[in-house]
Amino acid sequence: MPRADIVPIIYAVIERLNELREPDNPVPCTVDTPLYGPKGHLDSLGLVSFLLDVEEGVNALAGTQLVLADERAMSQHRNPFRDVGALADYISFRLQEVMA
Amino acid sequence: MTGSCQTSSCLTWLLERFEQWADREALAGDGWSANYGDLLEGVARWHQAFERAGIGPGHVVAFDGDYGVGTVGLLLALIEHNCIAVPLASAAPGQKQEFADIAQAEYLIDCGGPDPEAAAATGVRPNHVLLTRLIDAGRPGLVLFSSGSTGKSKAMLHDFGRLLEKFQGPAKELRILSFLLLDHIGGINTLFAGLSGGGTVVSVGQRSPQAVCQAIERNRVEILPTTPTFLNLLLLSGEHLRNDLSSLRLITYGTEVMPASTLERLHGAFPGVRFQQTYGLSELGILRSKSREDGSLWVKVGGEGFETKIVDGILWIRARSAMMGYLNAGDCFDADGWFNTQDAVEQDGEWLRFLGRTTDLINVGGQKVYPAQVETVLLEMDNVQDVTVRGEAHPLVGQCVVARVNLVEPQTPADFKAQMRRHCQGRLAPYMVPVKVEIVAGEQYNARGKKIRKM
Repeated sequence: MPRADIVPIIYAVIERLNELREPDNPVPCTVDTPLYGPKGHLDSLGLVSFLLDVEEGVNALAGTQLVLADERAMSQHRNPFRDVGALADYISFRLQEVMA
Repeated sequence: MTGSCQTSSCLTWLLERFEQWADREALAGDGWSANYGDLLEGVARWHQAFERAGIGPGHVVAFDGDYGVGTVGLLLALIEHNCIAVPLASAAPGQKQEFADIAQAEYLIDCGGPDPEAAAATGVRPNHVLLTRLIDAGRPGLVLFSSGSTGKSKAMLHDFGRLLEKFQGPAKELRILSFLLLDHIGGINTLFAGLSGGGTVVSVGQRSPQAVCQAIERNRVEILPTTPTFLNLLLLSGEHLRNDLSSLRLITYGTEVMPASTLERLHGAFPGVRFQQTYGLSELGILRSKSREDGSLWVKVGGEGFETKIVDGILWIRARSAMMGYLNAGDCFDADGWFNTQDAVEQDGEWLRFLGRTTDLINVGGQKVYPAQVETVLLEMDNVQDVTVRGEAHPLVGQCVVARVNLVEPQTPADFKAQMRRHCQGRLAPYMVPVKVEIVAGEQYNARGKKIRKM
């Protein structure tokens, strides 16, 4: 699945998240939006929930059983959850593996 | 009968009461009833059957059957005979043999089978230290199995004489529904609470809301001992509106934490009925309990023969009626005989509020979550029929909160999740809100009406 198909799934999850946030403090839907880490919009619990929602969206579209928050992700050289773009790249990379 | 169990003190007092009430209704079911005279005859028939089969004092007898005269008569005859009773009524077919083996049963009787009075010898000779201690003391015994809702079933050996002591005082004549079977401490408690006062124990073939409500109407039941899960299902079914339940005076609930939202709805649905929380453990017996006020989740537990203390927020109990021990697990009492119930409680003077079992506790990044806290909030949602919350391992936060939900109307998981998060906002701390939701169609409770949290 190309990155261009993954980013809208992440945006949809951000939009759901924004429904629960103060209207004057939404998480922007851009590829540079920091998610987890420096200046990130999510705390660890928020990240757990966010990743599960993204997983569901990706798996529904790709017909896979991908798990994003696992030991593999934790052991990446760079945090794959640092921003929207990095997350989309990481998902694309993992999908290539499982679908190969 | 003679024997070293001061035989007369174990059951004779009860059978003497039965003789005075010979014409009163003792047991009732769908289309049948039996009076105390019938029950005495049933006990006498079992003594003859024991003689034919060679069953004598100290023998361990496993049996299957519900609340008919045959099964209740058998249980009473076993106690009178100082045998060790192993009721297996609600064990799964595949578990019965395993349970009989753990209890070292010497005879098997199937009261619901084609030859209900036949006893099959197993060839086993009990050698467990606790069993031999009870047998040598000439006391009747009872082996109960935990439901295993959070793991493997444990076999608990009780001195039956001690369990029965609390029923010897004056008792009221009550019409009580037996929601739990004879292989549960709650079922044993209901049976003897009903019979010791000359009341009627009403049984149901199924524990569905419909069957229970019909039995209440048919038999003018006054007391319904049950579980929060069942009461929740009852409200959803609407069966209480289709049957005349005006005879009900008291509904007791135990075995799990009552969600505040369910209790509030119950008060609305049953305006004239008193609700009382009971507290008991198969290991200890059933304690007397008193609610702070009707509808309150704060209770005082204890009564004669029970002592309680709170250590680090956990309830500990020392009970005269406590079991002798597990037949398939290690000792669980401390040196002074106190038992750690693993029930976390809040305390306000002498009043307690149950938070849940520490064994069900979910640890989200070091924060404690009791499933019942989350379940009670999710049950407030209109579209939630039933919910079970549990923890699941998660590499980021240790454990995460997972909700398994039965919906009233179909809804997509994504829509439900969004709605659930909105509902939980402000009602639960963020770490308590389920991050994962499974929408299921099947029932989430076991034969005893208790939630199943294991996968």
